Amino acid sequence: MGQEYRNVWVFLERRREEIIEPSLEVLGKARELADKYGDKVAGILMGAGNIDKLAETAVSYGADLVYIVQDDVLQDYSTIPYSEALSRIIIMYKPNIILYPATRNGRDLAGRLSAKLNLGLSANTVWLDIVEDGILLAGVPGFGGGIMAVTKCLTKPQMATVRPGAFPKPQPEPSRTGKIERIDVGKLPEPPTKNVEKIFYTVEDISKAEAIVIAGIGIRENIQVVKKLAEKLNWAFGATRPLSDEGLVSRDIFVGATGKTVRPKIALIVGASGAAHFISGVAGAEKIISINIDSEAPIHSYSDYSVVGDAYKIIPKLLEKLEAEIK
Amino acid sequence: MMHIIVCMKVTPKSEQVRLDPNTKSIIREGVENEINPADKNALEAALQLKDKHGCKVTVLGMGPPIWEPYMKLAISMGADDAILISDRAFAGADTLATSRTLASAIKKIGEYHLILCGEESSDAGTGHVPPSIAEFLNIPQITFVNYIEILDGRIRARRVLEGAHEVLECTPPVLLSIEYGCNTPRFPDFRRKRWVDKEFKLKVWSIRDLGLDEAEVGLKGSRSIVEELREMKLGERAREKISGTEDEVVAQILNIIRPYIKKK
Repeated sequence: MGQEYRNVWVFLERRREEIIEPSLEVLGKARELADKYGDKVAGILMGAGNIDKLAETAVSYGADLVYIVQDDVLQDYSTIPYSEALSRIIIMYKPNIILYPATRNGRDLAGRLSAKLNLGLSANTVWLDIVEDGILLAGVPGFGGGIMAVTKCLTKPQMATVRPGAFPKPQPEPSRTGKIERIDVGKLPEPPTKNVEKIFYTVEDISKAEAIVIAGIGIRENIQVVKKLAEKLNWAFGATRPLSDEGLVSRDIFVGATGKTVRPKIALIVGASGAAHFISGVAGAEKIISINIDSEAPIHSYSDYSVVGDAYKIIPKLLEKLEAEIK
Repeated sequence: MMHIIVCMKVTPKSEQVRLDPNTKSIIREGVENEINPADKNALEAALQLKDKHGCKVTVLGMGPPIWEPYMKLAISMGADDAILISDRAFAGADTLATSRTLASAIKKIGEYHLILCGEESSDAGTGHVPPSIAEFLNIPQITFVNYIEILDGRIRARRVLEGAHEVLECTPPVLLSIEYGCNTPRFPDFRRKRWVDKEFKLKVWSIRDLGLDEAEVGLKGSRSIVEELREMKLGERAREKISGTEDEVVAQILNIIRPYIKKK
């Protein structure tokens, strides 16, 4: 027997014929952790048909090897066949760490695996480090985002789901080489759930935006104007959680500890007070300009440029000037 | 009749929670509690199925005796029965130990067709408990659901993903986790509330009732632990003030953002 519990695994979630960006971000972080501990990074790729091209992509983003499990029942993500296949290869290869993107499928799978194999699991982590004996420390934002709980698994493999946007996507290196290995896991169960409809649509993913306007509850009555401003600038539009809780904006665009993490070059924040759970989602912005009428609002301290003023007057004026400037 | 079990948690209102900077512990005093918002949506989904098909709805919680009023609130809203599993031994449970404990309570309840959970809790926000419960019960799961139908005894659910949705069908029993905000939870019924206050008896089960060992539950049964709580550095910035008349302010903002304007 070789040494047990080696290597950092990353679950490579697919969306149709591509690896999703959050999995590539996790690959980048896994590379860093593995290098620190002198370990290897393995990507786990499941699907039907030929998916070798995706394995090559994973290698270019930092994987040393990619395990491919190929079976007709793995065509689309489905909890039962996916968790069964993954648990079999975990038992075969005994990785030290398994990281999943904290997407809906990633959390669906990791939660199932945790109970299946009786393994500890850290959720929605935004910070990871590896210490002696290959122990993974995982930072989980909690209680409004101003607090981070540093968690540790007591079992191996150590598992964590990783927040999309928490780590930057690495630069691919097409010249990197890695090993691609097909694994035969035996017969897999059919999914007990029958997929009767699947619809893909493009939603703008604000976590990838280079520039964003974010509306807070303070501009509730004039949110349409803020949206228009974002359109005029051709920037992404986001909001704080209270606006989403009130149903004024979609849940896909709220920024904060329980929503999206953004890391734009510039963020213009309008009418948000700057609560910790919001700030933690925007802290990665290179430049922050904020407008808030309350001079005591914490948002001003987290801004590079701050305006104490009435956004209800400033934003329409700004829009007017812009419209004159950009024809 | 279809039996639906709704798993429910009581959580502190997250915006009120603070960390004591000296002791690095969470200040719970003076913080209001509520039924975890997504669990309330799960309860409403169950009650809508009850209205339509005449199901029986049982709510199940794992927590301290102070949760009693929240369990009773669920009855006032329309649930038929409520069970609180409560024991000091359950304290400090991670998602794995929590799921194992809830699953054994569900097994003790016996016959069921649907288990509904909120997609995640507002305090921990892991979303891992529903799939773990399903695994312990060895039943299928459909997570992040925003719409449920019962068709000829089959369950049809719409699962919402990032930039996609899928409609899945399954024969019961099945566990569904319900998307936060997918419906508007009803208010408690006044007459029902009067009956609950007077006559309703909450069932409380301890570790003995569940036949679990102390090593399987709470902190001892957990496989992940919190090493420490850290205050997250939120990076204070230069705070260069922009002031003047509104026109001046607008001109300055424009100067800052102009290089970032993207042509369509």
